[in-house]
Amino acid sequence: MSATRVFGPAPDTLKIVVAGGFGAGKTTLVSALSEVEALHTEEEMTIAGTAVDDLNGVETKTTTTVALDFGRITLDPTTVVYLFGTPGQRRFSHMWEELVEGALGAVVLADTRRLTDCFDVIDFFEARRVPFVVAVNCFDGQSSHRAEDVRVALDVADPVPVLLCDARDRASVKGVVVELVELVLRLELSGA
Amino acid sequence: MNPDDHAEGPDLIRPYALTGGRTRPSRSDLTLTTRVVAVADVVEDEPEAREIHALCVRPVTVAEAASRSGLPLGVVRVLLADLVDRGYVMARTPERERHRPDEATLRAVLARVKEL
Repeated sequence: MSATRVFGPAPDTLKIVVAGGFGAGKTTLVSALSEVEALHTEEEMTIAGTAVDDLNGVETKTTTTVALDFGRITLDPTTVVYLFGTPGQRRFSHMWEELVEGALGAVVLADTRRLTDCFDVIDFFEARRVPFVVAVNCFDGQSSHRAEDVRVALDVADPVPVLLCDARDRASVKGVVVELVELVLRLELSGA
Repeated sequence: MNPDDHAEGPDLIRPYALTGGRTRPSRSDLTLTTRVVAVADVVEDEPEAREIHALCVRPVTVAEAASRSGLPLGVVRVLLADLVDRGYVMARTPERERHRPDEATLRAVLARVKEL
């Protein structure tokens, strides 16, 4: 049985990774753009280690469940974009390897109250040369922080766009994705 | 298995009990964006395998099948790999996993995202 007959023509599949700390708004951002109700899947993982969840003095091997957000945007019958939301802390890095494989790029969703949650995943994207933009989620609709201040705090290089967004707002999130695709295009044209 | 079972409170079975304790799929080619589709009826009487199989009546991605099943991704990957091995399901991984998009594709994507 031929694959083409079973599946139809292969759609062009693009993957965008959305990374951020707990409560940064990843699910909200994915939902704002996804044409399907943003789906969730869970991955069981084992943590060997120290007090990873701020549980003082707990030093045991723990199993925890990680939600992976998943959204889909069909741009046309042959082009589909998949959005994957993943936690941004190092202890979830086993998932990042697969997520960045062949990914168009990434959005680091930053919560100004917990910028440190982004450090690990930014290190990872830089090391893997995954193009990324930093989107600062302004939950209350007010931009009490300037994008440039966040850039300095996160210590990201100049070519990396840092912008404010409202993860609940479709137009705002669309702007973030446009910024990412423009970045990838610039990198492609410059041969980077 | 009644799909509603997953919606109500914690499951009473540890997830990997459904896979006979296996946490690694029999094949490594099932990525999150691999599309899977049922091509033959399942003959074995395994509720979870049947449930996953039923989710693939039309081509869906592995991620989507996992989301809809309510089972953890790792469990779904093991079950799907078994179904592929036994010829009940076909899988196809996008070429894009191996190539970065070119300039023309990027420009087209950009134009379409702006139209959303």
